[in-house]
Amino acid sequence: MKEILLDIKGLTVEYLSNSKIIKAVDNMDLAVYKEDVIGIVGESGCGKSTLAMSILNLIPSPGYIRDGLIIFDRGINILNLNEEELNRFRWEKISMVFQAAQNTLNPVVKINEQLNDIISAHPNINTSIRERVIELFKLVKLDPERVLNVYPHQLSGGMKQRVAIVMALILEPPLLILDEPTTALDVLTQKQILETLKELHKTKNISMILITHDLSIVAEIAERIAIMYAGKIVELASIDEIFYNSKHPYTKGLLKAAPSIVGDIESLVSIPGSPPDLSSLPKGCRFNDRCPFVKDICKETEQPLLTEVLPDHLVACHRWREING
Amino acid sequence: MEALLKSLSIIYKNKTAFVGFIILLSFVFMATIGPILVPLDTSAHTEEMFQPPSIRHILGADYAGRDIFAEIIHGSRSVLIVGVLAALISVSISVLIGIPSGFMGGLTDWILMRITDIFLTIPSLPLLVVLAAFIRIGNPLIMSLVLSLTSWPGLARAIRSQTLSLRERDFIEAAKVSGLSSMYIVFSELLPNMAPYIAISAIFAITQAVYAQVGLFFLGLAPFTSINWGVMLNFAVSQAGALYSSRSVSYLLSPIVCISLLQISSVLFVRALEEIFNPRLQK
Amino acid sequence: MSWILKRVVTSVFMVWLVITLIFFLIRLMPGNPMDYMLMQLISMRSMSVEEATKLVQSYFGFKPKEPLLVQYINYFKGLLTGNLGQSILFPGTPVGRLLGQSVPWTVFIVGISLIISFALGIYLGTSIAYVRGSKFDNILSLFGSITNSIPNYIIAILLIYVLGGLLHIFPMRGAYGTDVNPGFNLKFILDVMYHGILPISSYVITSFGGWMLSMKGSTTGVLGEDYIMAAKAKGIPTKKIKNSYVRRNAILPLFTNLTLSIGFMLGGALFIETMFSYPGVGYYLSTSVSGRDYPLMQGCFLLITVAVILANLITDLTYSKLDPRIRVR
Repeated sequence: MKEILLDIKGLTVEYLSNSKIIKAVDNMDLAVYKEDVIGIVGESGCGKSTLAMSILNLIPSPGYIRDGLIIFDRGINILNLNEEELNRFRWEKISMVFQAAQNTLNPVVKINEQLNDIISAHPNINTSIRERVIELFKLVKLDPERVLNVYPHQLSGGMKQRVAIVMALILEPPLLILDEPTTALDVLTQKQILETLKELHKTKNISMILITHDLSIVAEIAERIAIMYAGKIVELASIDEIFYNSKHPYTKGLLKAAPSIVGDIESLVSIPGSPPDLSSLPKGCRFNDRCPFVKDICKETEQPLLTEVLPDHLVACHRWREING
Repeated sequence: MEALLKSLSIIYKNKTAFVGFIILLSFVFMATIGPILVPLDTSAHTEEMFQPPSIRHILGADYAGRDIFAEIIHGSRSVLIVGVLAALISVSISVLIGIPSGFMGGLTDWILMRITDIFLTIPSLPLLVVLAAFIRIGNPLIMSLVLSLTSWPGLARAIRSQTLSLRERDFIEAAKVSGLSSMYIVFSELLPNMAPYIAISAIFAITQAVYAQVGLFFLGLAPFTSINWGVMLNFAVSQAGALYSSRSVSYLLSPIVCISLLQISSVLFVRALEEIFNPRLQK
Repeated sequence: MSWILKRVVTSVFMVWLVITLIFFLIRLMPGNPMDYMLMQLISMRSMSVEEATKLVQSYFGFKPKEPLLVQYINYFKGLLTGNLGQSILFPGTPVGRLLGQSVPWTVFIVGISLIISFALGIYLGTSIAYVRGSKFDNILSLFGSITNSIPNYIIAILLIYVLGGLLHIFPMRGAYGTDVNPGFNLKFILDVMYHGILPISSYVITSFGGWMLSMKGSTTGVLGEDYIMAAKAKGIPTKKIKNSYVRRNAILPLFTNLTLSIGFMLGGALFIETMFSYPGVGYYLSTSVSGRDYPLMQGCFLLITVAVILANLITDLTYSKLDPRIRVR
């Protein structure tokens, strides 16, 4: 039985917008194990980025964490840390590669200075930084000479992304969150980045949370997948289970909507409709207006809870038994 | 009509905009109807020299016994006419230069911008003052022309950059692709989108013009043709020695208050307009 | 490097252009002052044409009856040697000397005013950006808008009237008192500062608001950027973020305003210096306009314009040093 590294319990995150309350993440439970690679997959707006930011307690106003616990390594509740503790905790224990990393670098400061900023902010990490920097640059296949003494705008998008990965790993945190690490990059760079991440996982045994809307990416490196919809997890299972034995209608829909490069060219089936308005959610299951298997029970009964279908395979659907025969 | 009512209601919602708007309207009223309602007696009544505010003279009397209140009312006309006229001419020139420059680019852009740059580098106030020395500024029209000559370059540049950013937008691309002529695109797609920006720039131009003309009159660098606030300031300081004694306080403060109010209300109104047209600025 | 060269060349070109324009302005404008003076001297003082011509030439720096091009070259030659003609209002004083005396005063007032209002505006603007929407923000922003829209000469009038004429706290005119010996002594320096307080205040009060609001807008924009959030995630202390990450980025757009401001302030010196009878270039410009002292007017106008061009050049170069993205051309 693997040890739990990060335990999210009952997390609820809301945004206040135009006097309406938007529930971006609703009463979510999720556990991340040591040396785990878990993918979080969902459409835009399903709350996955919000989830990522809550882990580091980074939600900007008008958003706020309404409820929940985020326990790290069975001891530290991240949401209870004060500013000083939080500054030390961040990046040392959990770091993040943001979406569109090109915008996460300070445009007027050179790369090496930005690395120094990180290092001097965490003086208690005293292992040999220089070698680690060189090693990390080698890992992401960047030439330190080319990259260290320049400004961000002098690097390409892919290079900036890889710099962001180096920055995230420089303090050797046990957990790395990656939010859409390959979006806005060309296919070749995407492949390179994924290779790097795989290599990383193999050599450093870092746990990773990989957030994306692209199933093909998680297929490459994740071990478990959580499917998110409208602020909730609707299915959670190992990668094989998700791809070959999915139970939730939404998961099935996502799989059918992804084109396959091998085999027959079947017709792509997109999921009709669009994600719900998070400020006024429908009664019952949130997927009920787009679900091909919807029945009355889906519209009237409370939202379905995650139930164990098989060991380590959870589904949140009222009718999962009937749908899957 | 409907759009007008809608804009008015938006203005009403924003407190500072509304206050600015009302004050501006009052000045417009003062300049247009005021002189008809309140007669100005320009003859000297030395017995009433420097009278403090009273029932007969609401704001008191100046150094020649004339009613200050009437002078303020009549003075507003000249200030506002020149201000609005100068702004109109300025904005027209800027639009005529800025839009073709931004829209057509290339050689046209280069030439127009070089001309604009030359005017832009020469500081406007000194230029204004030197021109005032050579050109006899006899009437509001000439004054407005001279004023606009020094204020159009900044505006032209701003309009050009607005045009440049709008030019790349999708709806312009779409219009071009559908084969619509450039003239048509400019008039029915570009201008309506720039209208708020142009309106805001126009009001700023009015404040610039008021600043310049009052300053010119105040320093005695432009000849007096009729009573106006800048002239009153000039008289208050030079003839009445207002800075040294307190007997002509009203004569000094009345134009100061009016000029300041005019400028402040214009700026408040414009800032609020900017917020309305650019939702990103809203809280 | 070539970009810097381009800018310098452009500036030199502009200076040349302005000199040429002024030259032709004087010569070709309606009511040509030289011909006017020539006529006056001949008719009213019964001078011969040669005598009058010589006199006019010494005032304006060239012979008026020669072909235009030759005049132009002579004028240019005169300029390069510092000969800008003789003043009419101050007989016997070369324009160059008057300008030389007045420039330090203008630089003193405008320079200090700019530094104070820029620094004050930046500091306040950054502060209110962090408390956006609060009462402090609303009140200060409103105050800034109001003070920024009042003409600077009006504030000058009020300051002179209240603090000078009424309360006698500050002197109302001049750069230094009549009882003080100019020179590098403490008494003089203190007196100069004492006399400078009101003029500088006129500028600062009416311009800090603009800087403050610009900085507020810029800082607000930067605070919403991803790299600020990323910096927080990295555990970088708030103070460092405020300085290296927020302020360094937020201040950049303000530099384009700096060029405008310098131009505006140097132009506005006209009003302020005249109000305070402060012996700077602006004062001499307005005096020469009122008194139709064309050579002096010419010289002042030239000087102010060249100053603006120079200031713009320096600002552009400074900006390019601060924003690394600009250097790549």
